[in-house]
This record gives sequence, C-alpha cells and structure tokens, in this order.
Amino acid sequence: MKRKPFLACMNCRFLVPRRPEVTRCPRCGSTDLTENWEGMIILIKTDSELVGKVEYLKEPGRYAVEVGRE
Amino acid sequence: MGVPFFPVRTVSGREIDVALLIEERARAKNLDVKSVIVPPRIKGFVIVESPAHFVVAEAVRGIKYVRGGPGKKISLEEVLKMIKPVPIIETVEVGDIVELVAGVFKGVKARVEAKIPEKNELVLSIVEAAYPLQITVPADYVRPVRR
Repeated sequence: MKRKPFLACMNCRFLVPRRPEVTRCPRCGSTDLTENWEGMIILIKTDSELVGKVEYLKEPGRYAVEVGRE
Repeated sequence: MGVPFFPVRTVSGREIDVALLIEERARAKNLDVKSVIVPPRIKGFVIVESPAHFVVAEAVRGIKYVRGGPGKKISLEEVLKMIKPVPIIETVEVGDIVELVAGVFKGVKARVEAKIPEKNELVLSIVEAAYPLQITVPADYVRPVRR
C-alpha cells in the first residue's frame, strides 16, 4: 500500500506532513500522531457549511475524518 | 439554500492527491472553494464545496487524475452521512454475534449481553469459551459479524 503523506493527530485530527523532524501536532501540541486514519477534509474557508456541523472543524487546515489505533 | 457540494470522479487511490491539487489551485487562483472532502472508504471520488458549478469545473480542469467533471450537486445531509459514521454501539443489538478486533480476546467471537451507551461499552459473553465468561469492553473493540 502507498505510504500516506500525512500523520493524523489523535487529539484534534489535524493532519501533519510526514517528516522525521515533526513529532508534535502544530495545532494542539500533542505527540500522539498516528498513521491509521481515513478520509480527509480540507477546510479552506471558515464560512463552509461544515463548520459547526462537524465539531473538529474550526480553523482552515487539513483534517482526518476518522482516526484510530492499530 | 446553502452552499452545495459537487462530486468529482477521480482515479481510484488518487483521491488525496486530487484533493491537495484542488486546494492548491483554489488558493493560487483565489477560487471560491470552501472545502474539499475525501470521504473515508469510498474509492474514486472527492467532494468539492463551492457555491457554483463552474467554480468547481475551473478548479479541477486539467488535473491528471480527474476522471469526470463535477456532477450533480449533493445535499449537506448526504455529505454529513458520509463523514459522520454511526457509532458502532448503535449498530449492534443485544443478542448479536460480534468479533473482537482488539484487546486480549482479539479474534474471538462473542455475543452481546448488554449495552452501556453512556460509557460506550459493551458487555459480551465469549461464545467459544467452555464456561460462561463475561467481559466488558469498549465498543470500538468489536466488529459486527454477518450471520
């Protein structure tokens, strides 16, 4: 399977680019990053209909839809 | 009527690449794209949120892995159904056979004895055990088994 280009934060679902020096979520500071995520939402503008309907979408960025452990 | 969502067909397995390209292009050309959604476990399409069809057509034009231009718009409810799956605890009923997918009993089949929705836990009795054995596990540890 193709390696995913991002790691997801277990805490806030933010997607972090996969680089060796990145060990923390830049948004919430959590070190709990996982490769096990499915689906992606890229929020570009905050007046999207999804803001408010989906609780983890607050500011623009890339988010995983589902995160889980192995 | 809120902002509609338009589905875009892509090459299977390239959904994330297409979504990233659409994002980049939307920012570069300042297009009115509000979000791009890659639904989990659905292969071969991404959803673009934008007020108009032609904006989406502009955003996806010429992208290598796009197989079909923006289709008919879909409603917010349908999009939410795709990205907000029902929790496992609501899909299983008391008496169902489930398989444990995590924890010490991984791979073992069990019958649901009770549900504890407030703690998101299930009380199970192991089917394959020689004597009655009840365990309480988080609902994420199980997968429903088709019978």
